[in-house]
Amino acid sequence: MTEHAVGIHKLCRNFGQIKALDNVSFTVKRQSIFGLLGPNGAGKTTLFSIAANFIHADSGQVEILGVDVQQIAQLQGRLSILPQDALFQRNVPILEQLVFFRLLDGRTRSEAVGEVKKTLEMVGLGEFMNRRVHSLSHGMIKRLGVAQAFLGNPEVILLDEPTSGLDPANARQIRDLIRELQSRATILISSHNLAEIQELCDHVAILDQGKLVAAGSVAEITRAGRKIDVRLSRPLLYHEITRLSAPQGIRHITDSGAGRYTFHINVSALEAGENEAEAMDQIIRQFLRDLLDMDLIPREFREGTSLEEHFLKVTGKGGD
Amino acid sequence: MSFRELQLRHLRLISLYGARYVIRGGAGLVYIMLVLSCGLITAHIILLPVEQEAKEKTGVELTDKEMLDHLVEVARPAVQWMLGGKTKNERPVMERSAGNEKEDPEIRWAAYLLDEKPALLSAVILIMFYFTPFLVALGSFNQYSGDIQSKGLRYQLLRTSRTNIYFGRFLAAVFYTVFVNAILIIIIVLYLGLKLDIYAWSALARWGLWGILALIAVSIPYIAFCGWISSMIDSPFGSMTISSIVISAIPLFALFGRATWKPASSICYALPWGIQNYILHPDWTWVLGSLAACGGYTILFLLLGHHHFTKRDL
Repeated sequence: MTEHAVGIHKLCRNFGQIKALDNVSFTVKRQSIFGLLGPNGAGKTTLFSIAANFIHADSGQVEILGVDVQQIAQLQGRLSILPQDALFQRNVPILEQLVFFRLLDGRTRSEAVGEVKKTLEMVGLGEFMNRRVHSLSHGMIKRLGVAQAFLGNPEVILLDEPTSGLDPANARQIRDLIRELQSRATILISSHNLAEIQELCDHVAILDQGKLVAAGSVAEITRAGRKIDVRLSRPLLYHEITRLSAPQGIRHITDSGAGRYTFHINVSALEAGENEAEAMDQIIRQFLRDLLDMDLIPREFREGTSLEEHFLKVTGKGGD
Repeated sequence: MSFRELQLRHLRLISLYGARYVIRGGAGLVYIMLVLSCGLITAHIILLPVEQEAKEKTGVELTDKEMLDHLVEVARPAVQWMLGGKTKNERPVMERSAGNEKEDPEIRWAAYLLDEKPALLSAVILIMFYFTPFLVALGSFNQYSGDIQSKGLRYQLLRTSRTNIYFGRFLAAVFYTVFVNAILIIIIVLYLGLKLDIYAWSALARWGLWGILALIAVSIPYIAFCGWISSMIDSPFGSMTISSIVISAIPLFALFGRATWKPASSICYALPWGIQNYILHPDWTWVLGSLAACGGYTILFLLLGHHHFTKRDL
């Protein structure tokens, strides 16, 4: 048994003159949730499509569970995908469509119906199982796609933007389901929602213009984007911004309006390892002391890390 | 991707669901309507003179047999022409003697269809042979292209092989065509038997059954051809247009081309146009040869389509 559930090796794919994937390599550990990030056109969907053998690579290799995806038949029942923009049959009840998929997976009709009903309940579509796709909303269709990806017991699940178009409650529900599945499956997620990726994933890879520009654990990557979000009792004056910026720990301040500010921490001021937390405490302590000295009361305070910061930096979309 | 991945269970499931989706999607219903309309209108045009004569016969005192013989004689030159022969006037004067006419294979063939078999049913089947390729193009153009365009196939690609999808959907189109053609011929046979009371039921049933099988045999290579086009083109409309144009252009080119350059008529062998009529031939060797040729075209188009479908991006 290989250590990695998914291995991408020197993957290249061109569409005419456009390099959709340019020598991309990374691996995904078993039973982890792996995030694939990138701006539009970065190559995320192309990578997923090659991994599912929908399209072929010009060169390179994708291995899933130790099987080259060229031999995709060996992965039947072990790999599933939520493809982006793939449509269901419009005039067929959703229950019947998913039952058909389970019949192809080798289930009997009664087993298939039972499993499908359970999965549809899980994604909140239980009461709509006899409806046809054309009568479902965009969010419902997305949940139907998620349901078909969760059917059975796949060991690797590829989810291409699983929560796009969902309302916050449904997106939360899908995220909870993904977390539950982690104990028995390896999950790759592509998303534009960086907060979601940060919340769900152990590791991420960032693609930009077909190239892999960053990969690693979320903790490692977001370390560069530590920050403090505060809402103050009143807006900061110019000299107060200067004073708060002066301590070594604060790199720069972002004004989000209405008294909301983000203070970005200078990571080089933090020592990696055991002393990092202590150094961060020291920066926060000094920061709060300065605020109170200036008669500024923090109404809200949240320490965090920002994947967005790193994403914008490596994709060249950030300001600095 | 190879034929080793063929699974009977998957083929059965895909063909069954494929046929059901076609009906639910509406395209299948349109196809039924087109085939039935075309077939029944053809039958009506052929039967109308018979019915009219039947109405008028009180004054003329024609027997059923005499009435039919009269109609068959009127229709005989057209049938001979459709079978690929020349009309009496097109043949050189030296060939027009009675003895030569009996030797002429098309005349013998027409006599087999019009005299030995129920003539009205033969005429309907023969005309349907010419309509079937066009109707098949309208019924089979969307075997794959719609789901390639909508990416709907992606939900199945991790659950079965491309080979199973390709052949499963082809079988769905074949089953559907069998069903529609059977309904058409059964309606016509019932009408001939109940309304006109000219032919024996046994003769009608035997020839009707053979007509269904013949129409199916003619349809299958065209279904495979449309499947090949459908696997190459992502747009259902594009697939329908190209299939229809190719299917109709070949006989037209052969017909008009041979007027200026005789070998141009050979183009009709690019599709089964050149051999399909022989399924109704009186000589079994010709029938078997024609069936084998239809099988050959089917295998060729299936292999081409399968090769393309398994190699392409979906």
